[in-house]
Amino acid sequence: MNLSQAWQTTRACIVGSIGAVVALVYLAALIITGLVLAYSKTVSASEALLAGTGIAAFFWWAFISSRLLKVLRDTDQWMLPSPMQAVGSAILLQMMITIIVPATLHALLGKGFFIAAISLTAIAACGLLFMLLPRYLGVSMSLMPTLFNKLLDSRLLPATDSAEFFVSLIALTLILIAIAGWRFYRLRRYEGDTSRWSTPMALMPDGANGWGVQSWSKSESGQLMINGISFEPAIDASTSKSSALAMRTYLGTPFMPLTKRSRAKQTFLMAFAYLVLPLFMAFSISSDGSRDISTTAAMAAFWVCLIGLGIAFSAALVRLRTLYTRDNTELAELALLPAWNGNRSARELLIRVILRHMSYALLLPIIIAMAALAFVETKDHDGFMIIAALYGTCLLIGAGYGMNIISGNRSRVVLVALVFIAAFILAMIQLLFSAQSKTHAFAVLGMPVWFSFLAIAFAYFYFSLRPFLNRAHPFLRN
Amino acid sequence: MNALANSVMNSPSSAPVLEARSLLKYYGDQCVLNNVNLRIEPGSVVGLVGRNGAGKSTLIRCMLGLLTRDSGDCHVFGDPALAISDSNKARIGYVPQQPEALGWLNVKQMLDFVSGFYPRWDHAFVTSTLSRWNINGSTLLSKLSPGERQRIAVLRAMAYHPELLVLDEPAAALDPVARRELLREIAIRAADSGTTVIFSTHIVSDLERVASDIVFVHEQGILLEMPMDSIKENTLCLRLSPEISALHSGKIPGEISRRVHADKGVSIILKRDDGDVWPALCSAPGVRTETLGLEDLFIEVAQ
Repeated sequence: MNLSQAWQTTRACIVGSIGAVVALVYLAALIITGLVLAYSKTVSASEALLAGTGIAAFFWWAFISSRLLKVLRDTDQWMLPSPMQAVGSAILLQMMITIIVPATLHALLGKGFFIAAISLTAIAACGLLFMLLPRYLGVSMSLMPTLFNKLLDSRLLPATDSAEFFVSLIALTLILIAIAGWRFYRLRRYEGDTSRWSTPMALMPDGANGWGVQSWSKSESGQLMINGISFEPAIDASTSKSSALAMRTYLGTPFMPLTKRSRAKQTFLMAFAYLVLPLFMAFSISSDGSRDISTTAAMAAFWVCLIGLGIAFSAALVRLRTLYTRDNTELAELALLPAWNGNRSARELLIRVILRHMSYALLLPIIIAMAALAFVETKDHDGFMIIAALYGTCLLIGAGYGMNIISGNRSRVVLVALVFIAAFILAMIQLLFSAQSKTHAFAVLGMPVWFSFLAIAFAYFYFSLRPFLNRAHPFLRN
Repeated sequence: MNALANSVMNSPSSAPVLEARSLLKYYGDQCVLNNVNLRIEPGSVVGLVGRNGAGKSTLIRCMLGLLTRDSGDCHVFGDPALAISDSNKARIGYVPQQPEALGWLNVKQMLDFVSGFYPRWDHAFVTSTLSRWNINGSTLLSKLSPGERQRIAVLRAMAYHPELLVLDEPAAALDPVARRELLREIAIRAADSGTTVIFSTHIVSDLERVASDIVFVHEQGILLEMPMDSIKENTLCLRLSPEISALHSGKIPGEISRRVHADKGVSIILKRDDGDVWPALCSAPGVRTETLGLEDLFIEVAQ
């Protein structure tokens, strides 16, 4: 294996800053979930390790490794020599990172290497299939762990310590690898429409920073589509009379004003996206005696916030970045439109539109999260306080990042990601603690920390806003 | 040739519509525009010509305040380019190189939406043009071909009869018929309404059809700026034999470019102001003079 070639190819798959940040947040949160579960009475350290690295492997193979398909398709399209050797090396390297190393750690904890390696391989194949299967089928891959557990619980699968289980696992893994390989082969030369609902996520059109997450909303181009479902802009004679509506129309998706019908459709889709995972968790945990409804509700609230923030911020920030960094976008029209009554009011309006969008986009997930927390809270209101602090911190950080984009500053993505991750880890630990111990978690554990977070977030927002206020006008291309 | 445009040329003393003074622009470490001075008079039809990457689009964007500059001044209708008033913005029509704006709206939605910002919007002109071009108003802009998209962008920019029309490579995606129609419309606007037009292009024949003035953008600056009609009269190409060129290695008065050939012979492009005489070298033995057409001049200068 040519290590340098393997790394170069792998690095080519890890593109995009905002998409990567979102993935990092998810990845870190999931690993921490595994670690926290390790402290529960029923889960051992090796099981937690396997859970954490399994989830990480799923995300890795779904969002990073699946991009090898794009590498192959691009080289075919540009009639370049086939990079099969580089792709093969990259797959080996990624298997080392996501399967061999965790399986070795698993063996060091006194458990079997092969069982871990095969389990992780099966999970990696599920991750690939998540992106390679038609979307409605791909999503079902995320249900595989629960399905697997249910089959074990209902004794439809042999016990995990039996030889039959090992054989079944190998058979399942081989089937999954075969399907993934077949899909990879088929999709490499697929030339049909890639904007349909059934299009595998790995084929979704993307820009220079293409990630599945980003392509879902077509947020780069401002198109009014989510997962192939189109929305109607609310354009009529009054649109140009209102500066805010005109600004939102020019900013495109996700700022765009929609017709009532499209707004309802969008709300329904968003609610579905926010609810599907928590409902699924509630369903899968309901038969598991080790966790009570409070824990489930707290975790559900946490996930709703995480998904909500991911969707709300990634779409808006990607769109702003495209608008301010590419030629021939709407920026020139915004700059020359006789509609803003001077640079100062245009600047204020733009800030207002961005902040309003971010706040509104977070409303639905916050309401759902608060509703979930109603199942946890009995006496005090810790969960609500935690979610409110998390909301405030993330809103300020997200808005600050947006200000950085539109003021042409180099945004320190890693710092922003770190604050996000830290805030989410704190929120998750507090929510779990609050749910399980029924103590006043916010006051005991978090208030000073949350105030620090909010102060950092506010400072970040302020120092990002200032250069934008000093710009000659708000629509200057970076 | 461009009598229409010339007929509306205003006196040089009137206030410029667009002006750049000592304009300096860098992209990172790369200087794109270096000490550029340009003054666009009302009613003129100015063709910006230059090779790819010469800085034509950057010059246009800086002059319209769409990009910041590193130093210098730009003014539009007397306003600083970075703070143009709404009333002056309503007098500007701009078509970018590859129009991609508002692709999520259909043609009719976009035109209706934009019309609300311009009191002088000419609905009849829009309707008749759309019908003549056979473009369906319910088609999404993102679904139009690049040529159709460019035509819609030109239509959007002309629909409110701007006093200044800035077109960045307007003909790049147009077929010959559409290009000819666009040029005719530009000429008519300039002649009938005194619209000032500035457009960049690689297609030299387009310049010859409509431009009243020509500006060569080359190597971060403006190499040549003169009325179209005087190009042949006031530019000259000298072909120096190798022997003669060895005697004249220094810069000659009026020299704007020099090209050394493989045989050590030299081609020199000279320019002069109205009424000036050509240097004595032009009539020296071993020196051949040639009057170049616009396309040959462009190639000679840009090579």
